[in-house]
Amino acid sequence: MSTRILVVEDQADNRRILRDLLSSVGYEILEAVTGDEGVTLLL
Amino acid sequence: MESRRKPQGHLFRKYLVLFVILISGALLTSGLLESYFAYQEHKTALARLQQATARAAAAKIAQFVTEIQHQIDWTTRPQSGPPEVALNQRRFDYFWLLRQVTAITEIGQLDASGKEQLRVSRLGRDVVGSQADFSRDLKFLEARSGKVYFGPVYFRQESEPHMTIAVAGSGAQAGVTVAEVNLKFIWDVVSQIKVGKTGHAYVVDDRGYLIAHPDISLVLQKLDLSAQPQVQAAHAGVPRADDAETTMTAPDLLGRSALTTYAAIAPVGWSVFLAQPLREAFAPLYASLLRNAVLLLLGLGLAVLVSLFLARKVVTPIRTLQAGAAQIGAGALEHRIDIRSGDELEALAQEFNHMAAQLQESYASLEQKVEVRTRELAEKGRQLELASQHKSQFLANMSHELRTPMNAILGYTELIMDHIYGEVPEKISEILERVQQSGHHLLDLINDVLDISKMEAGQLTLALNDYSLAEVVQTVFSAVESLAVEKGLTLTISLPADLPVGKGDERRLAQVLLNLLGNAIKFTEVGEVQVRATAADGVFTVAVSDTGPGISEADQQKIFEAFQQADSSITRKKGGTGLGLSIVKRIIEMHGGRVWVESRLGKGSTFWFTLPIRVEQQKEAT
Repeated sequence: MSTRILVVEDQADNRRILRDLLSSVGYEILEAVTGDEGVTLLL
Repeated sequence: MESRRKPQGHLFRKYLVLFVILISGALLTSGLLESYFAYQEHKTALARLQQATARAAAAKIAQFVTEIQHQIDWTTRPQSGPPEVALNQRRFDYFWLLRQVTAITEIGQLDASGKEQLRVSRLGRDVVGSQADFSRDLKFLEARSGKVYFGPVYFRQESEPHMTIAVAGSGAQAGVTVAEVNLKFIWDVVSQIKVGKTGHAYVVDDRGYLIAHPDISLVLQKLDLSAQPQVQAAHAGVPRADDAETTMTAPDLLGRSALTTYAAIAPVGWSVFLAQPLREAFAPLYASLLRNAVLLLLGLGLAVLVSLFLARKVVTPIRTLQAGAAQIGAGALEHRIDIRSGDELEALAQEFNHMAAQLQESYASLEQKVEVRTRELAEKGRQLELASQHKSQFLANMSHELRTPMNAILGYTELIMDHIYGEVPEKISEILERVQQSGHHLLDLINDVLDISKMEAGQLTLALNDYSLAEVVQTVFSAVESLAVEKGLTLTISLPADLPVGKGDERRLAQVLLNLLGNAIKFTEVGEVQVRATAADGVFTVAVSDTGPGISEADQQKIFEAFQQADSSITRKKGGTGLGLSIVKRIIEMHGGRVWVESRLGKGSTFWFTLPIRVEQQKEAT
């Protein structure tokens, strides 16, 4: 089971860069645009 | 203004003294002149009166003597006939003369040889042919020489003044008639003369003896007055009609100072003196003087009163003016000076009032203007504050807004170069490297500009915490070591082992060191870059030296200003924002330290900064 990382970032580019970078080294990425979304995903 | 010394005003006193001097001076002068002339006139009048009296008395006495002389003359005529008859005739003549002239007490006849032939007397029996020899006697000799002889005064019966008169007859064989004359008549004349109450007349003979005086006892004392000044004057001077010449002040016979007048009795060489004690003579004058003095005193008193009044009248408006001007001067601009003297002073007061009114008006309009300006300024201030807030807001926004796209650019570039998106051809990889460099440079620029702007806006706040200088140096060293190694430079650190724990903004101090070390490495081609630090007296002293090209004297002044590099072409060649030293300077100053450079062209540069070890409060950067 791969490690999941939650990325909460409102800027699409930043989000994408993080996703591309982290996924390229094998992490599973969860993304959220706002804090509320992030909290929801986390729970 | 309060401390200004006021001149002590004595105007009132000055005017008072002036007026008193003027008025009393005039009064005194006129009073003294009047008194002087009154004295002179009185004295002249008195002298004239005394002179007239004296001359009258002298004339009377002279007439008396001359009359007797004439009578005697008459008896000297030669008697004709035989000697017996002649003798009887002469004897009869003598009897007749004694009857006629009561003043003659005795009369006698000397013959040409000086022998007494006959003597008829009231007091004794007639003496005939006594032949007593008088040829040596002065009375005989003088009469024979052709002059009338007036003998010295002598006294018979101790109270009757007498005098011998001798007259020679005409012809060589004529005898000399000798008469003894009672001078009581002169005493009568003298006694009758009254000069004032105590004034009197007296007669002095040619030898200076007193021969007549109302007080007969004085005469009997045979007083010799020849030493007295009035007698000497009478004997010395030829008596003249001039009153002043014969009037003088001399002591009278009682020793009182007296106004004395004399007149000569020409035939006998005697003098009549009239003496009135000065005290009495000038009594009316003294009374008049006293009256004058009283009037003068009254006048002076009046003068003082008038002077007081005048001085007050002159000075009061001036004082009012002074007080009013002082009040206006002290700021009471609404004060008005009230003087109604109808002269220049009133005009002056009006000028002052006018001035005060003008001042008041200007003041009011000035206050109004100041108020308006103050309101305007306050408005501007509010606007500026607002603008500043907007600017701060803008900067805060910008830092975020600018960094976000930079992150994207640099992030994507890095991902591409890390082959996240697949293989990258060699050529594009090279270009991407340039993009990455330019991106980093742009990010540096943005960061520096934002820092500077924050500092200028006073928005940068230091985070003051404990730190270890050695650690900060070490961190920066690690960051730049690779650059130095790349350029083949020696990078050395020289720190004492026991540096104290500092307090300050660690991150900003690292920025300072990074800037200085980065510059040193950037500009030095060959040699070494060295960092030294010491701690003394509560201050860190840090030096970053290099063996670079050095900085000229003129440029040393400019490099700490924003966007200044010693050579603007360097920015292009070496990169850098031109803001590094400016930021360094501000950060150091905000810590209360100081930064400076020591450098010579071709000899490398040393950047120094001092830093309080424990910074408790942020300072204002200049």
